[in-house]
Amino acid sequence: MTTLETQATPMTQKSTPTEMTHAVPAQAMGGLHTETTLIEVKDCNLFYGSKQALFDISMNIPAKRVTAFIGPSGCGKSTLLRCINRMNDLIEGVRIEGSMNINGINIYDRRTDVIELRKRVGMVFQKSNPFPKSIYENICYGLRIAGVNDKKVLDEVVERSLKGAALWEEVKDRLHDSALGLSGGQQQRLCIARAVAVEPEVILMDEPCSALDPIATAKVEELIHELKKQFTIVIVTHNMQQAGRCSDYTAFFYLGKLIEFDATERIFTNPKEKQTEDYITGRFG
Amino acid sequence: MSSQAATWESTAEKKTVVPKKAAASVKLVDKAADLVIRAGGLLIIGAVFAIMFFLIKECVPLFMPAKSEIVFTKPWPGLTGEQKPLFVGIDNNQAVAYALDAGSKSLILANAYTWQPILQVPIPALAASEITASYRVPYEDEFFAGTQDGKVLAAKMPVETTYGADNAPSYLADVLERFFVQVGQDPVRLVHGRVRESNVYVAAVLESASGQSVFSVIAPDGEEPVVEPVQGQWDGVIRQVLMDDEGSKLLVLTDKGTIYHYFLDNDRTKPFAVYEAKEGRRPTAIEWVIGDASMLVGFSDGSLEHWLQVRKKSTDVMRAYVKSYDFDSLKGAVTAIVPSSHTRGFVAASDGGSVHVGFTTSERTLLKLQAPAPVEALVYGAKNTAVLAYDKNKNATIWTVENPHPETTFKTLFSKVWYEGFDQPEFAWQSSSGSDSFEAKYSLTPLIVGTVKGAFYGLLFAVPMAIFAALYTSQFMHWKNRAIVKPTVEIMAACPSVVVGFLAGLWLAPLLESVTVSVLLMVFVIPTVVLALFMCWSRVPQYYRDKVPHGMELVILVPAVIVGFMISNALGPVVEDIFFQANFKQWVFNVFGEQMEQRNCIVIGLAMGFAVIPIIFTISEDALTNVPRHFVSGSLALGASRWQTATRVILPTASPGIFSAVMIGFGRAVGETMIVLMATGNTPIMSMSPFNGMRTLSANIAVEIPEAPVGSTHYRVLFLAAVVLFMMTFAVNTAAEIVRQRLREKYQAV
Ligand SMILES: Nc1ncnc2c1ncn2[C@@H]1O[C@H](COP(=O)(O)OP(=O)(O)O)[C@@H](O)[C@H]1O
Ligand SMILES: [Mg+2]
Repeated sequence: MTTLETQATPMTQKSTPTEMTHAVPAQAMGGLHTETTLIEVKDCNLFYGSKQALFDISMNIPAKRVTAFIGPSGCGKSTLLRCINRMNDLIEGVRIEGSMNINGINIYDRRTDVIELRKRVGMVFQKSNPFPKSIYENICYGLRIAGVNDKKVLDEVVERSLKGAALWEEVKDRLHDSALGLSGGQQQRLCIARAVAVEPEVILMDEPCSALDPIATAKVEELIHELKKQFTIVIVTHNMQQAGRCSDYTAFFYLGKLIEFDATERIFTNPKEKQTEDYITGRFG
Repeated sequence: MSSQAATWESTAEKKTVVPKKAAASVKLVDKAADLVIRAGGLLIIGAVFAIMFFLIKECVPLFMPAKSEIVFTKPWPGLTGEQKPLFVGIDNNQAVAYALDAGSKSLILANAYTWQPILQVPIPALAASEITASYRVPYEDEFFAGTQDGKVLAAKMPVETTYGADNAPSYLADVLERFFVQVGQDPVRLVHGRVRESNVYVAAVLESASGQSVFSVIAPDGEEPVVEPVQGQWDGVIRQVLMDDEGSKLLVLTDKGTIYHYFLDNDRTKPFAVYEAKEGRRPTAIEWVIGDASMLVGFSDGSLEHWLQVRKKSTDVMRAYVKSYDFDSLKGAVTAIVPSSHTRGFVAASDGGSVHVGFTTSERTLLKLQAPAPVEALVYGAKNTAVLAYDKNKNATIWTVENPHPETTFKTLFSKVWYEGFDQPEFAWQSSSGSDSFEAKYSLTPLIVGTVKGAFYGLLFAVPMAIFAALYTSQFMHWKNRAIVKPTVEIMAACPSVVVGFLAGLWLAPLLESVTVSVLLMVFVIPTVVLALFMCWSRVPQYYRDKVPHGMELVILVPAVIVGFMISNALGPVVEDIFFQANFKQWVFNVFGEQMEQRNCIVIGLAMGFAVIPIIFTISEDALTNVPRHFVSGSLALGASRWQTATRVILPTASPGIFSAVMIGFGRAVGETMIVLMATGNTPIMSMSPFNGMRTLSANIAVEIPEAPVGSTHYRVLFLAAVVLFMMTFAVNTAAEIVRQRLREKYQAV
């Protein structure tokens, strides 16, 4: 625990304080203005080559809350999510305009260390992707690449992370077995535990339950509920019920544009936009 | 359920006949394809097995035991007198048996198959004297005879069989006198000698009332024979003398079992060495093995040994005998030993009637025959397919012997063998030479070692290069460059290996010889320069870096490599001066005690590496590229750098593929022929040293199969080499497959 904190050095940009309250746009409703903003997206445009995928996205994602991105397929949810930890850098020909700040630091600044950013902003993918290593080594991976090799620290982190991901009881007897022997739901929770192990501030989840059965989905949702005490969570989901069940705030996207962003309750009971209502009531999508 | 079935039917009906017809033809094509593929697969497996079967079939005779059959036991037809024949023999065609009859003083010939008397050839020179000693040279038509009045006859006795129109044989035999010389006044008791290119070398023992005296009778090249005495204090009655085919080595065996070993050229007054009999066991018969260098020694207790001459110091010219091999014991004391006329084989017989056929260097007793009575004289047919023993009951027994490959055993093929002229047992491959007395040496071990050595040094160079190149190409290179690099490397594989070998042997090897140190330096200097360049590059402001088009970073590598090359070249002589006493070759010799050859493992490594890099690269690159992208994303999302991702996730996940790439590369290197043929010195040495060359199994087969007579031992041993090669690649591939499966289970990608 202690070592981890010393490990996490502040991001290279010095001038900005780590916690900062930003002014919330006046139109934000339903308690959003009372929240502490962690991620601030401003006028974000994204192009895949010549094709624009995101149009003028501006939003403030609150800290220690679950924010859900919903919208029909291809509307840019994953694209925006990937912007937050710069996974889009890996894609050939991506161009991003506008700014994106985390804790007031512009992550697209030239001086930002991407590797450090990704340690602070973890990600869970749609398809569970444990490495072909043991369960133990999967959890340790983030620590090992950061140079932590002390067995005591690793043991501790593995146990804590697996407990945190509600997986400990199921796997504690076979920590050194291959992670690929786990069930789909367990694998996905392992990936969450792996992300948790490096103690990020934000965990991004891109449709984490879309490949899981209902029971496994329920477990992951329960987990998300627990995790929000410590982490800021942004989750992309296809599943309206899921967004309703586990998020505090919901953003609705359509054709690369942010249509509406508000408290989940309000989005589902009293959406302001016609498009949002149509989508939620299942008239399209 | 039923409603669903109904819809199925209805759709089928709606679409009418067309799809059904299509389905039938599709099924037919499917079936045909299945059949063709199956047949093809079986054919390939069948072909491989057929090749293996053929190869093994050709080698099996090497390991077949010897066979023998007794033909008959009969008295010699036409012998007169009470005495036993002075000597017996069989001609070179194994058609005519002959004996020197002491009574009629003539050669008596008999048909070796029918045992009918053929001819009697009188020896006029001996008509006036009584024959008291004789000796027949086992592998020439030559004999010597000594007389009561102290004379020695050397003569040739050509026997010829010609077959007429009705296939009836007619015989021609003659006795041509070489010399008939007065050695002393006393009766000649023993005579022994050799004829080599019309030089005649004879040793004779004369018996007188005062004692026994030994003489050498030497007639070089048809000149008058020179008789000279040999002095010595012998501890008993001389039983045997042996003269070698250079007129230099002379052995004297006494009835006490002591052997006196002379070098006549050096000192004829006293022996160079004396071998004394051990308690209760004394030599009773000795004879040279062909070549007259090593000898067989038979003992009173029936044991039989092979003795070799061994140098004590490497500068010794005269060498004493040391026991080298043991053979199975005979019953009773050994009475006669006859060497084969063209191999290191022999026949030995005893007064217990044992007749053993053996082979010296393979240390084998091939056959144990039994004669009806104690054996007095022996003949080993010139073709080594017949043995004749003349026994005390005046009967001749003839056996057929079938044993085409007496010299090969697993020991001679794979283990150390003590050959004539060697100071200790060694691994040796030396398959041919001009002379008949040369012994072919067929140890496959140096060739196996050479094969492994060539592959090892080839892989030492190729594996790091190919795997790092594959890693870079698959993980770091811009996809546009990859599209060029991969096919280019694959084209390397299309370069005929004979061209690579030719360039390596005739151009690279002499070039490298002068700049060895520079080349070795390059291994370190070029990577260092490249790494330094990358360090500098990462310091260049992003602004300028962004200006370089993506993928062009490769272009700046080219000057880096050239600079590294030039630095190594410049540094080479300096380093050689400082660390290697200005002469690397000399330094290697001083430090490792080895001569650095021009065609060494650096050349092989480069050339063989060039041949196997493409295949290792291609397979590794595929394996690395096929690692699912989501592992990469997963790793990067946890804050890993690309290098960490490559080494900790991608490499282990791709390891089964990379492993099989290396193994397939090894298999290629093991089977590679033309490169090793041209770029190695082809010396079959047992050494893993990088400073000399090697001879591989494959190159050896390619070089020697044209000169090996079909069915000969050499021919079959080459087939055995092919079997070994086959097994090596088979073993490597099987091991590779097993390890790959294991790795795959461990690192299976979902
Ligand atoms: N790697 C890519 N290259 C080009 N276009 C992409 C890429 N990824 C996504 N897109 C496009 O961007 C748009 C948004 O995609 P995405 O963010 O995956 O949508 P969502 O996750 O909401 O289904 C889609 O039109 C998609 O075709
Ligand atoms: Mg998506």
